[in-house]
Amino acid sequence: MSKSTNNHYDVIVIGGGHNGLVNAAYLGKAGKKVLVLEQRHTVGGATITEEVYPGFKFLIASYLISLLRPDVIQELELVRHGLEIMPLESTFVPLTNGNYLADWPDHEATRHEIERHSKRDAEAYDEYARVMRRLAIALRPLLDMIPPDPTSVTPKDLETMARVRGVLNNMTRDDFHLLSRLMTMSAADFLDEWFEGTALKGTKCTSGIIGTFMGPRSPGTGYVLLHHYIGELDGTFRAWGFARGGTGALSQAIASAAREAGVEIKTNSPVAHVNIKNGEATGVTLENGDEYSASIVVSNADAKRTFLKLIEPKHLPDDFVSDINRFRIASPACKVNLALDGLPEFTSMPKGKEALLRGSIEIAPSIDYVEQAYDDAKYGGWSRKPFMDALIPSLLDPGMAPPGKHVMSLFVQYASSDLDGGWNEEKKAQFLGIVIDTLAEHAPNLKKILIHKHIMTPWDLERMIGLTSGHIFHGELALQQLFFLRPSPQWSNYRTPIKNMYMCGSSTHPGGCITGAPGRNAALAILEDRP
Amino acid sequence: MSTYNTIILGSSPNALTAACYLARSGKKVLVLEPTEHIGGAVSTNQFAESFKADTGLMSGRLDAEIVKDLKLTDHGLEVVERSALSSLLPGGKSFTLSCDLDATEKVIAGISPADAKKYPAFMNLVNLASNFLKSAYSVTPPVNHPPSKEDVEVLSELSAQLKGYGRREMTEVMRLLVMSVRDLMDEWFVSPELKGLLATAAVRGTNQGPFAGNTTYNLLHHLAQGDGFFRATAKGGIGALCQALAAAAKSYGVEIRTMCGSLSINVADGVATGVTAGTESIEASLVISDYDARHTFTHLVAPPELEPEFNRAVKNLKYRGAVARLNFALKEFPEFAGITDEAMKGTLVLAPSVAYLEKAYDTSKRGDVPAQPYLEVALPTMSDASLAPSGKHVMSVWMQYAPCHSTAKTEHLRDLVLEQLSEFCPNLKSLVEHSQVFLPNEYESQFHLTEGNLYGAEISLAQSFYLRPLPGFAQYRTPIAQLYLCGSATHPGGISGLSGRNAARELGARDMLPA
Ligand SMILES: Cc1cc2nc3c(=O)[nH]c(=O)nc-3n(C[C@H](O)[C@H](O)[C@H](O)COP(=O)(O)OP(=O)(O)OC[C@H]3O[C@@H](n4cnc5c(N)ncnc54)[C@H](O)[C@@H]3O)c2cc1C
Ligand SMILES: Cc1cc2nc3c(=O)[nH]c(=O)nc-3n(C[C@H](O)[C@H](O)[C@H](O)COP(=O)(O)OP(=O)(O)OC[C@H]3O[C@@H](n4cnc5c(N)ncnc54)[C@H](O)[C@@H]3O)c2cc1C
Repeated sequence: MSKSTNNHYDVIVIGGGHNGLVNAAYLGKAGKKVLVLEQRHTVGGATITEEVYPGFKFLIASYLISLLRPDVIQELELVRHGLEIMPLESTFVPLTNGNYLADWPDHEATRHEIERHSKRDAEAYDEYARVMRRLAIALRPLLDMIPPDPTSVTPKDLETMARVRGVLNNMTRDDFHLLSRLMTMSAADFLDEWFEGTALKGTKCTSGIIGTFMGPRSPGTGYVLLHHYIGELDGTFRAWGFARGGTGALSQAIASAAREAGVEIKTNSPVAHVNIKNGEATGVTLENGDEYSASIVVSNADAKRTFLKLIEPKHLPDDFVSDINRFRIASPACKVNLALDGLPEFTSMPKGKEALLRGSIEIAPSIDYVEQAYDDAKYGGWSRKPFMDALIPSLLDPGMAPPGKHVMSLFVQYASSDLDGGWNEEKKAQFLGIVIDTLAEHAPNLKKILIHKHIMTPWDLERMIGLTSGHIFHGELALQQLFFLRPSPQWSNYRTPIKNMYMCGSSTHPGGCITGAPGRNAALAILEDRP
Repeated sequence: MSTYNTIILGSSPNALTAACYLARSGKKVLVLEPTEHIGGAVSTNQFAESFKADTGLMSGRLDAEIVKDLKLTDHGLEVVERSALSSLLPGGKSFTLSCDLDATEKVIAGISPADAKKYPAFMNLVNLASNFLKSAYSVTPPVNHPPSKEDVEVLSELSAQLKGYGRREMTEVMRLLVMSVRDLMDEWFVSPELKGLLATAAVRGTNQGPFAGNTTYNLLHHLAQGDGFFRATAKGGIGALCQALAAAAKSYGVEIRTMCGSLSINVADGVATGVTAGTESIEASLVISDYDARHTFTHLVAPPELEPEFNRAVKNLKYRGAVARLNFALKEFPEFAGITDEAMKGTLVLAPSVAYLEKAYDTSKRGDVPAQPYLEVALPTMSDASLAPSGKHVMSVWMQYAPCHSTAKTEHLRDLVLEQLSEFCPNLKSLVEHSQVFLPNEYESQFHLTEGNLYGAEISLAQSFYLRPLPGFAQYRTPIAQLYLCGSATHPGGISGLSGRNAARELGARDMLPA
């Protein structure tokens, strides 16, 4: 049944998500013979652009770029390979009372806008931005680090621990204390300390709950808030950008860099299992029975998929299997894409300010709104009024839709991956209806201009992209599974209990988002072991 | 006019512990308590003719070393163990856990054999973690960053303890500190009933639900204080802790005045010089506040004495009292179906699942009292007949959540609690002779506990260790020279006396050494 292929590779990467591609590109550049095996017809994983409806390019999953490590862009020369990122210039928050809140490209304009809601908040806003920036800069070195094992006494781990301490000790005392609090607080409590404006806090708190099955009042969301501040675009912190052609274009740019470095990429090649002999990974077997041998196997799939599906538990220590089993991965996030015959008209958008449509549009009028959305979903349900982060990509890149038409991308929370009774087509349609109704409350012409609608629930994200429970970050960014605990206490350094087997996906430090960091850090770890 | 070295405002177990240690090292100490009773809210008082009950906390344990060191047994302290923990379940069912591991395993096996197998390992892990906390709780946290040489010594000793647990155990303990208790329960157990019961200590005293991150810290905190699953009180009620400490304090020469009049701290040029009690001004070279930081720095000291950043930090403290306490005078023993007499000496809990707790919190976070509250019930007269006339009983109830700014009326809470408990004790309502209800706002108005928080500030990771009571002030000092804090507001918090002892050690060791 199984056919052995003749070729032997130095490295096989299971999965062509952006991290798998980054990992392959770095290893290819280091002279390794690398094969990427991707189950789907195209690479990119959760970072793809696809024409689901003729003429309209949908951002199936991820939609914006911010945390992509500058090192990755430079070292892989992604700009030369076609990456073009256009900064998003504004945020528009329609409110239920007909009012709105906007964040403009121009700093003074934003101040005036916030002042319209609260003078005090306008004062606090600058200081808040400065403080978050300082904390983010201080923590940045940790992102590009292979986490140390605090229980180890090897010289390397001790040295890395000292580096971690150095990073923290470089902070001022006030910043260190603030960081300690932010890491352990809820996003809502933190924002309450800074601001009084309901709308401002509503929109700001959403960074604390993206991809996270917690409400803004839950401790732990403070960290997620900070996680989303660590990004930078061309040196501008907290800036988010849109890639021409959608996030899929980024994956194509990385793939192009990888191919140039000699990496071979095979799509339509789902891996059935990792081949293991005497505790060592020796290659993989595809679902069609094809076998590929390699000196090193790297998995870009999430930790649960990798260790519970592609590897038999008998090859793994019990503790490790239980760590992977307990890894929290329940997900609340959906993605909706709309094909539109025109632009949505938001009742609260002031005349002459239609440029705001080119930025983020957030349906998050207050912390209470978002918290209620969470409460509706947390026992296995979905939000009756979901939180949404919307974008109209065709305004930034006209190539995304036919002339005169538009695409709209909606990131939506919360809808439980563990829906009571499970997901099915009927429930998908029901929730999609809720999303459209909620948006139409703010933009009443929506239903008139709607040509096609498409939803990716956690169920679909799992079936289509292979994300366990559809989790957008390959596992919750909860404190108990970050840094040297991600995905498992003694295995946070991209290595695994199986010799010659590594991880490079978002289940590893520093976690999810389009960062390229797990892919790059894993390549560094592999090259440490096999220069 | 008499002068004192040291005046302590407030008379909680922490204040009295500090008083004992300071007086023993030669200080002349005056303790001022504005209410009628030593202990303030930590007291046991008559609430109906010949019925006595705890006013605030209804369980608690003094640190064992303090008990030994201050010979509190000689001063009348008699610990009463509540070594059973019963869960009241829908349909009048129940089960009871006890300190006896074997017996408890059998009980759990009746609900879930898989859980019974895991229970000993679970207890072992939470005990490791709470033992680690215990060590952290008996030291003064660092305030420097980067840590000074002394700080590094303290931290290294703590991390050596963690490392001593073994590699796997070390990281397991670290994880626990930051986990939600829902996650913890899901990792260990399958039975919703067991998970609900064990999760309660993680939300006890806070306005937070079990789904929230870091709630396991609160569980470990209560365990570290000996007030986790199996609790304790004293013969005579919780107030007897303060009575024994007061007796010890007096033996060391401490003077204690109750009903001393309203208090304020005299400050001159940024230095505390004494206290005004009612109309009397009393000088002292050292002033220690047992009150929480917000009360101390907004009422006892005028805020203009302090820097704006400090005032902001004080304003940002989280209190959010969400506990209502009810005491009932019962004319007969209340028969709770299926609960043995032995179990009645322990704690009864109504929290049949983690989701039940979370749903109660869902209402509370919006400012209202849930229709299905989380309850803890104790019958102190089971172990101490002196608290009620012969044959009669006192029933104390801890109720969550009653958020501090809710508009709920005391009668509503009383009826709600009786209604809930009647499912297990059908004739309960007919047994009630008297009742007493405390809401958070009453704790605030009568005892100056900010927002009615019984622990001097929310017990949470974000307000613990070097962040308690305020970042930068974890060593019991304040921005005002010669003014210190010693109450539950400070590290580690609670009524074990450790906050008071740590404060006294800081004072004795650094500022009060005899010249
Ligand atoms: C709805 C949604 C919206 C998001 N929005 C944003 C955003 O705006 N900005 C942002 O920064 N991040 C966003 N994210 C998160 C971000 O997209 C992910 O964290 C990131 O793309 C994960 O990259 P990865 O390479 O680690 O894993 P993946 O992208 O999951 O890649 C794993 C790859 O492995 C393949 N694979 C799995 N199993 C096998 C197998 N057995 N054989 C072969 N191949 C296999 C999969 O097909 C996939 O291609 C979003 C995610 C989602 C789901
Ligand atoms: C309860 C607790 C509270 C903590 N609070 C703080 C805090 O307030 N500030 C903070 O920065 N870290 C804090 N830490 C982290 C701590 O300082 C170290 O990260 C921790 O000791 C782990 O280091 P290690 O395992 O290498 O252990 P250790 O065995 O403690 O470290 C090895 C050596 O490194 C030196 N060392 C230890 N810690 C430091 C340090 N922070 N700076 C410089 N040298 C050091 C000592 O000389 C020590 O002998 C805390 C840790 C714990 C457990």
